[in-house]
Amino acid sequence: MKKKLKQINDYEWILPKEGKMNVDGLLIGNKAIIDGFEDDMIAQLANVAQLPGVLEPVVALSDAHFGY
Amino acid sequence: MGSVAAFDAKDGVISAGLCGFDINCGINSIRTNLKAEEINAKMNELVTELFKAIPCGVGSKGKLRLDDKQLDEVMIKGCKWAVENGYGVKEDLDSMEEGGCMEGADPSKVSDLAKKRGKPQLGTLGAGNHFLEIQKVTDIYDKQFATKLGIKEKDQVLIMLHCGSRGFGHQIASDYLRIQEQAVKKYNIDIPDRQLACSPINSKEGQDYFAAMKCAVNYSFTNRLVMTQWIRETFERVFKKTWQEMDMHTVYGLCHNVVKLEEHTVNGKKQEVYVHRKGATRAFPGIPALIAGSMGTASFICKGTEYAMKRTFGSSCHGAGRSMSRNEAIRTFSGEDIRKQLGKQGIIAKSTSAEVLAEEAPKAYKDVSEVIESVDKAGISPKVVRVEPIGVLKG
Repeated sequence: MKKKLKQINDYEWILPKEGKMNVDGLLIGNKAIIDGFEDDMIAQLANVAQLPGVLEPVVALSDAHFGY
Repeated sequence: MGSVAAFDAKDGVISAGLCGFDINCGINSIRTNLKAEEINAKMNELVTELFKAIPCGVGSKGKLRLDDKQLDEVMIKGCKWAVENGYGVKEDLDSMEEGGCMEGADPSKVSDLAKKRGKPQLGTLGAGNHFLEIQKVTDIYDKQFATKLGIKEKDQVLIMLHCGSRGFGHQIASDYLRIQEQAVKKYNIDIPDRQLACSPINSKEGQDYFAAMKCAVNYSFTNRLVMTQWIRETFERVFKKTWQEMDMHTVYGLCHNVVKLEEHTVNGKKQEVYVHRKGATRAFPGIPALIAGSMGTASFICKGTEYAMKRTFGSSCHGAGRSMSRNEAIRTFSGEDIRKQLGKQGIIAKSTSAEVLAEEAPKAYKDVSEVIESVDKAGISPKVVRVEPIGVLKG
């Protein structure tokens, strides 16, 4: 999942919408934080982006971890 | 999980799972005009007395025993009930998200089982990641904003209370997770994960959940204010001064797990949205955002920004975030070792069980300084004040 992230500046990364996702994801973190993110957490963010009526972006903050 | 998801108020969904089990788990920060060196000599006594005053632990029951009518009032009026009953003062309400009460709570949408669990638990800390910390200010990054919050100097003592809606909110979340699992079928919603059970916002199931969730939000706001008053009374006994003399006012109080109906600009247009903050803090411009570190590590007071409104629906992070599961932490660490390590750092920690200290070991969390640097530099919630714990109470 992490390979799909696109860095837009030092602290913001985009998970581009694909498949059933309705919107992009936005992840907030410096390099160390992004490196520490679990793939499962990013997959969860992609799941949230599939819900009906969701607005762009769904956001994972720098403290995000796996588990809803 | 440390996430924000916003939904169109007309054709979006609302999700009990995306709000989480501990509805309005959150933080209140209380200031004092005491200095760390003044209280260090009495820290053992203070922590012991606080431990007596604040019921801690899984399933802990409080000194308050609410009847049905009182519980209904707590659900509807939140902290206004607290103030009317001698817990906290009017000024506390001015320093809390929603003024300590979300309008529109409906007790008829809450199950009897949730009410039964809620009645004996108001005014209790609970366990897990919940804590009461005595802290000292180590850094002030934004002097002007800190002064507005009554935070003036290094070594000033603050108190942080981190807890939620106890068994009451947990039961409401469980009840509505089941209801929404049915709603998903009824309204033919395609969900990728059972835990994302939801219902259309404008369905009966959706609005019932929102009205029930607000009951738990108000219960939790009240829970923290009731304990705030007991903390003040404990300080009065230990330091032989009134709490007003010690300037023990609420710096700010806010939610970390909540769904809110807010106005945001989406694609250049203002619109109403249901924002789900799950392990996230509101970060509206010029309003404090309180971010808790893990046990034994620093916590921060930040402030929200216009940029957060543009990028994250006015939200920031809420804490350090786990890097290790609770079970893994219990297997890896010994609670007694953790207590000793904290002691070496000059932190007095008390808990109902050693296991809780292991579960919450600082190394089971991400490095809070990296977490904070990220939200600070990203521009969504710059740092205002950094604090370190000097006394810790865990459930």
